[in-house]
Amino acid sequence: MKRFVTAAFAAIAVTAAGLSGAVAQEWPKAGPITIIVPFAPGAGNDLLGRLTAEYFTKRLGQQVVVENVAGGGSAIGLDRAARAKPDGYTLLWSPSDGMSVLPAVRKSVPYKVPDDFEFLARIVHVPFVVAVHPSVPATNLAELIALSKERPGRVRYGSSGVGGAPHMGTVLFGMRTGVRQTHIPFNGIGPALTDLIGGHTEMLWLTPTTGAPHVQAGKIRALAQTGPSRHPLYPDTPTLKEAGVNVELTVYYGMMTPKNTPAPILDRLRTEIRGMLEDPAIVKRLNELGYTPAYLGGEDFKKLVVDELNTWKQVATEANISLAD
Amino acid sequence: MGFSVALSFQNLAYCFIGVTLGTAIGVLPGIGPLATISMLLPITFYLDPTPAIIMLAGVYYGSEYGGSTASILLNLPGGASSAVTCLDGYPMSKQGRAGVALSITAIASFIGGSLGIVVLIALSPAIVAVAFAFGAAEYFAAMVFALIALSLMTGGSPLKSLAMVGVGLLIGLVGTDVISGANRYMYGIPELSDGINVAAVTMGLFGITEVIASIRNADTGGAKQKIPLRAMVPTRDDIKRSVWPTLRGFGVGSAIGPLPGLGATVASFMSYALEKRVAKDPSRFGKGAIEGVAGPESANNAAAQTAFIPVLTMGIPATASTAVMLSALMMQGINPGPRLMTEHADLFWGVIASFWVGNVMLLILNLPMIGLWVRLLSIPYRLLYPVILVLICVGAYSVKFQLLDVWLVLGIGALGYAMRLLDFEPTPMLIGFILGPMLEENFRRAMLSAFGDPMEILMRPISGTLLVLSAIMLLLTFWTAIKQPAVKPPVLREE
Repeated sequence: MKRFVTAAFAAIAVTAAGLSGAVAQEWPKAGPITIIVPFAPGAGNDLLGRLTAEYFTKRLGQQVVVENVAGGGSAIGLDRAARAKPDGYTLLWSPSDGMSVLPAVRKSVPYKVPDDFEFLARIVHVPFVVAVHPSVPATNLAELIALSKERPGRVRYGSSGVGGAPHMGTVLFGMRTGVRQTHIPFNGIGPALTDLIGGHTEMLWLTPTTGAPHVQAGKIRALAQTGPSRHPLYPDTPTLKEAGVNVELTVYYGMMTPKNTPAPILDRLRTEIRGMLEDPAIVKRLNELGYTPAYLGGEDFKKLVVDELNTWKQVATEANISLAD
Repeated sequence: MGFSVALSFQNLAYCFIGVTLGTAIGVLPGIGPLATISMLLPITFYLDPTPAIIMLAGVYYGSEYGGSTASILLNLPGGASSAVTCLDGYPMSKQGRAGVALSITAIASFIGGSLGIVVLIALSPAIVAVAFAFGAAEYFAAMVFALIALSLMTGGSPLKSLAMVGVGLLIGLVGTDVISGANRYMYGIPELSDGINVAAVTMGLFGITEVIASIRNADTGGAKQKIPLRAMVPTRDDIKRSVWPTLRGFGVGSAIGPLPGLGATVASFMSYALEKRVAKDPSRFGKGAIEGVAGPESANNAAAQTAFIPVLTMGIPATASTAVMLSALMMQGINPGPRLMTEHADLFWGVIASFWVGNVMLLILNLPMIGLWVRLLSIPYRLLYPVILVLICVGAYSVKFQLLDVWLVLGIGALGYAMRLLDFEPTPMLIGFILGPMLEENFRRAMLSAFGDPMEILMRPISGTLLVLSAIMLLLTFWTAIKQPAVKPPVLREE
């Protein structure tokens, strides 16, 4: 017992010393660093966030942990990050959904893009694959467009959710090709994919890794992909631009910090992110998960975020999409 | 082939860790399998894929064993899928037959689970085909069928039951509407955007309510009764009564388990409703009928096993917990999908074999524990209940790590207590809460898919059949109601 008490006092003393020293100490020595992942554990974002946390822990000599703040299509996590102290101990992991799509389609979100954040870097990006049910009489994109024009509104497409990137991408696709299709929203990609495989919807935009096993098994058919070049999992599937549709869409995944995080901290983190994307083991992991490393630092990244936000605002206005609160 | 994998020392060890953890979190109210699996996920990144999945799956189906323990002893379900076990399990406990209820639960769970695995091995392809045949229209029809089957499940006044289904439905509407993306009844609280979680409603309605209701006699022991050994062992009559419900429960559970989104909770409710309907004397239900324990327990375990059919054969998660398991595989560079069975045969069959090993472990683990659990009842409430309250709050918080959920649990608990004073049943409310939003979502989706033509839903073979059956069931219910005098409210007998 006596030993326990001594140990407890020692622990309290150490903690107190740590707290008082935090102000004076050089970042990142004052305590663990949190990466907010605005999604539930287990989603793709979570895996990427954890990979990054693991790498940072090794490199910064400080425990870096993932905190899942799920909900509101990532709005809750982004809001939490926007209001955190800009001291380098709270970082944010976010895909384009919450940064560039959500503020464009919702009437209001609790945070401001780009004002509330410092933009570290884009880390990876991923295109969508345009997949159809095998029974759909279209073996390429041109035939799908022709079919949609022949039967306006009769081609049904699923989505992982209203106002998400795949939904908005499909809306943009419809605008640029002049076709009208019917949107069937789901809660998450799982049920939307089940519905497509079952033949209850005709088309679905999904990520390369989610689709690959089902394309290979012949359960669904990939007609096009939306990236700037062909994804390694789909060497034979043309991009939208190759197929003659002027749409290019990838979902970016990157890191941000609260506004006014000191520049030296941002620089150090950017250096680490660049290093991470040169680490062959990590690149292999990322490729296995279907992500393409695509570093884009600071101002360039911020410009991408804002450009996309403006694009989606335009699409939302034209398509009259505004989600009420 | 699978057993050689499942019986390797390492995999046995991880299976044991999984099912033991599963049992433990099943017993504790609040901390459900989803939270536990999410917490374990980072650990699995450092394991081989096979033991990782074996462990996570063990947590998942293991929690279905433990979940009913607190339902029976204290009227505190460990999760939504064991809520229905309160209806007859808790009265049995009050009659000093807690040991019997627990033994039958363990055995029925084992039989349901084991037969569920047989279905998983033998009928996977056929079941997957059926699951894919279910579009929005079929889901909608299945929900209508379920809602009608369940609506008059508990005793008491049908009107009050209906009112409670309505209240549950309203609570279920809170959050972002999936179809339009609009926020409903959120009052500007972003934490409500994903709706009010099932765990909060279950724990509030059953757990907190029970605690409040027991404050008055907090000084007495839980059930300061001498429990003789023969109260632990089911009588020949108990066993005879449990055989068919267990088998029927397995049937219901296996049928509902693979359908994404329905899962063990709906299976257990459906099984209870079925038992009550086929019983010679339905009035025994709610007063400690063993059938009302055996059926649902068999059903939720069968469902927990067959939920893996779409996961393992197609890589499509049926529940949130199985979605997290799939991401554990993806993290290992294995992309789950239709070819998992051929490309990773070792993993596929090893995991399935481990399910059975896990079920045997659970039986061995749970039967000797019964004596211990029953002894728990001799702890005075004034010591036991504060602990339970803390556990419930921790459990509510652990779902999404937001304080709002703790307040919700307490608020719903207060509502539950008011309902109890006014003699409103909590079960219909839970049914409305779970099925209502799914019914609405799928109806609207079916209408979108049918381009606004409601006849389309009736003309599809599966949904049409289910809707016709629902109509027949409804008419039969009216018919019997007209023929028979109204059901008298159950008179509480002095024990």
